[in-house]
Amino acid sequence: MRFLHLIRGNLFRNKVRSLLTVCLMAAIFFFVTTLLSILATFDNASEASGVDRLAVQSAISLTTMLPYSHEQKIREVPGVAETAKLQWIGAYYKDSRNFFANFAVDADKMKAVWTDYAIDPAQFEAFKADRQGCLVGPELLKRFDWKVGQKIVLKGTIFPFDPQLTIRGVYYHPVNVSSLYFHTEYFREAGLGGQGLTGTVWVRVSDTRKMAAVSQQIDEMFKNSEYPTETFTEKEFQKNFISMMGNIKLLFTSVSVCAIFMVILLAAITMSMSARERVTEIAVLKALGYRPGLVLGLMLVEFVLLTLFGGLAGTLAAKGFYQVFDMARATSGFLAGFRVYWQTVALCLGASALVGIVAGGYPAYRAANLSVVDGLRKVV
Amino acid sequence: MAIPLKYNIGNISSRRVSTLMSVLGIGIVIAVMLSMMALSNGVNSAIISTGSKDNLMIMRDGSDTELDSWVDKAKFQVLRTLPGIQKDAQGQPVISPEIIIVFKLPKKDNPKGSNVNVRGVTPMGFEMRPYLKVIEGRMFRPGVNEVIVSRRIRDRFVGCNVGDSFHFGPQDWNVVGIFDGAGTSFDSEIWTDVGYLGSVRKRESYSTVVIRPADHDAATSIKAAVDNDNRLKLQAKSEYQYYDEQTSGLVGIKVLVGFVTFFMVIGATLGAMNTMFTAVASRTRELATLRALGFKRRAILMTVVIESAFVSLLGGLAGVLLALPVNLISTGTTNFKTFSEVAFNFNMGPAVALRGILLAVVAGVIGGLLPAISAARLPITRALREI
Amino acid sequence: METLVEIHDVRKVYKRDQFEIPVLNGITLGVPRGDFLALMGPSGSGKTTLLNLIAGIDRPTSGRILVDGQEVSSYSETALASWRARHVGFIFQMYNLIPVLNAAENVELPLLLTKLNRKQRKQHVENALAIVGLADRMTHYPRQLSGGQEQRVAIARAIVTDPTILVADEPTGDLDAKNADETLDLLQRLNAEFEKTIVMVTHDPKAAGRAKHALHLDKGVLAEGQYGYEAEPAVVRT
Repeated sequence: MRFLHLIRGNLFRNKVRSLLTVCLMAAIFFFVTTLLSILATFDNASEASGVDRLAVQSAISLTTMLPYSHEQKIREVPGVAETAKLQWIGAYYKDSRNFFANFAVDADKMKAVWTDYAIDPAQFEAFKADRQGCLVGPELLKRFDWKVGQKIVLKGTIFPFDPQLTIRGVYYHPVNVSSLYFHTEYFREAGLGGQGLTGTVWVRVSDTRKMAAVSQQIDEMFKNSEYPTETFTEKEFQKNFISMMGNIKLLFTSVSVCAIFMVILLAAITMSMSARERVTEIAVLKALGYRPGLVLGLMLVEFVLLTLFGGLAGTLAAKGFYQVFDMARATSGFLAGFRVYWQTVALCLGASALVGIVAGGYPAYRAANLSVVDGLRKVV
Repeated sequence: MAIPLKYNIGNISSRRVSTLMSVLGIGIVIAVMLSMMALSNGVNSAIISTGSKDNLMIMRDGSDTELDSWVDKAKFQVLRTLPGIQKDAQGQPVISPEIIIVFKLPKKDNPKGSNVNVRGVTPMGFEMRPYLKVIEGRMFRPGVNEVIVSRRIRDRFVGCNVGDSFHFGPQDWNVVGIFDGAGTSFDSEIWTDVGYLGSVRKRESYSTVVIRPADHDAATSIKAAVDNDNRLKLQAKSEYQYYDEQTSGLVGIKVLVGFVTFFMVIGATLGAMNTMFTAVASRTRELATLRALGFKRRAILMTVVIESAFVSLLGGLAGVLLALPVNLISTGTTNFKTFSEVAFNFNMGPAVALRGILLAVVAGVIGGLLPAISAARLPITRALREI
Repeated sequence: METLVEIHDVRKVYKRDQFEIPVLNGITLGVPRGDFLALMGPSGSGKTTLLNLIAGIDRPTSGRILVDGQEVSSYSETALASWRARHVGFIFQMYNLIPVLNAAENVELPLLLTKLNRKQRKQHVENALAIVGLADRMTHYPRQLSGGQEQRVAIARAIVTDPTILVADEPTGDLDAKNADETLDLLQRLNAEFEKTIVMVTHDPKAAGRAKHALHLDKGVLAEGQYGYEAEPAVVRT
């Protein structure tokens, strides 16, 4: 790049001003990166869900349960490979603020339904063998400083039942990293599944192309029963859960857009200041034969580099920060899979470049098109 | 001697475009911050304002929410006879047995539906919440499938107008009235007769029982009586305390508000700094002249800081104006403690607005400090030579 | 000798708000190749405007200007820019070096518009700076140079592309007598040794005395008697 000297020189012309713009960009893009990463985490949770699983729940409401007999009937539906009951327990560990997902599950069928979960075979056998055993996600282990083999007691909320469990192993999954699973049998013996009721039945279908058909068939089957069902793909199930929070996407997107708009305004002030200071120099360049387009280009490259650098600093700082800072813990496990994805970084860099173009466009255009004679007259 | 304020006002109006841009820039961040505060305020007041300190809530020991509580009808009879309960004009104890069931109803923007709390009450339930008013249609009659729907639920869900009926479970429910819950969480509910609701949904027990004690001492003794009776296995807490605890299911919003506020204040500070650096740079010669005329460094420092604070104040005011329309937004979220819908209004009251303006000014002062110092430090001779 | 710059009945009127201010009122002039011409006159006489027109950074309201046979007064903005890059070297009163670039980088600026590669550019920059006697100041920034040195860097920048014509606007206006002398020496040398055609605006009779010829402008016309010809283009006789 032959004009490198010129651009570099101008970037460092007014160090305080450049630094300030970079700082402002960095702060705002740290912020924007965080918000977009939260959205990406939600999106990813539904994207990474199993493609071959269906969740059957009561059509009446989330808190209405289904009889065990439903599971038997669902198994008969053609296209169903395997089924398992899953019950949300809603218990907490020590303090009610320690929110995390915990479930009672059909232990022996867990691997057959959740095929995308990796569990050490020995640990899984140990879990199956212990009626009061449980499997936990790696993040949860880290968060409560648990160890495999440790005995823990959870405090029940929805059900008057305090599960006394022994951690038998760790499961691994790309997104679901902080849940706890124990035996349906234990839950039932505590007298709670006593009436033979479960919150959801999960289904693995043998052919993903027939998911819609299977789903429809299940709902048809129970339509007129006392317990009508509603069947979702795992992805829909996750999305429903997220949509319950309200329109987070709209909220976060609009907050991000506002923040970026603010930076554009403030950057535009500095950039027009910077362009105004340089009127004579630009006139000289133009006298030397630099065409307006080239001058405009050089200034834009400079402005974009400035904002890009700020954006890069902010978004990478966010990436580094959240590697150290435990978002899962800070949000009581709510954002368990939180991570700054490279796609988010790329998006933020694109936005930073855009800030430079939008904020610097007009000042640069005006400076580049000022007549040489007027520009030179300013000093003489 | 201080530099007259007229000087600052002159400066600000002479740089009209860039001042306007700064004010707008700072205004936007303050508006974002205020909107988030208004959101949090709205959710909180929707939940907390529900709870009256006068009412005691009796729930199953160990349950956190009304939804997973149950109180046998036999136990209700025990509670009814407790001493210290206030008597109404007819000499009846002021005690309200209630059943809360979650209905999944189709929403206007989500046909798959969302969870709504349906509360079965007796007339006593209304007496204990005198602020709750039927604003359209009429009250439901006991023993039949009639409901009254809160205004916010009516606005957000399908088929909830007076004269409509919606299907849930095996039966249809006729909407006969719309009520206003004065911003409480009842504004996210549907109310009906407790006896009818219990019978059609096959509930053997009530969910909770709400008691109005005669006075403060009576409240203490009733609470003690309930908490200490091992046969009952119930707990008593003030309605206020119950709803206050419910907000912990919304911890995410609080964290979010704190986070947004932090960054927006940083943004406003850097914005003010940016503005003042440019403002100072564009009149180096002027400031040097003031120094040459005999104004002290401190006076220069003050005049820059004051100007910065003033620009930020304008920004703060702009922010309040920009954020005002959010007060019109009525939306909902889910309380993850109960998995049910919380309808709320963004609520930017004067207190929140004032906080926003104050933070803007603070940001202005802090942001103005550095440019002020650099302006005060300029050597007179060099500054006079510069253009 | 061949005429390099031909100016035919050039008029220039500036518009300020609704007022029209005539600056040049019909100038006809020819500058021969290899000349060193001084344009003199009081403030507002139009001498700088005339120089700007010759240099192609301004355009006449009417009339024609030909430089080296090319009618620059008819060029578009971009064509004019490319033409300047190839044919014109500028020297200003305030030197107008770019403060964030060092001497060599300043001199290199016009070369960036050519197809020369980095090595060739470096060679040219070194030559130009050697001619003005600043080969040892390549990496100095403008603020580290004296006024006279700055002006010499500016001259190096003007000659580095080997332009057809050098235009100088009060090149000694901001310099003390000694530095002014050195600058004028340099211009004379460029004219004599390198056969550069130079047009210089000055109000200093001493500076004008160093030129081969001097023309006086007053109120937008060439002063009577000297080189003002009515019928045909005024050609400076050598």
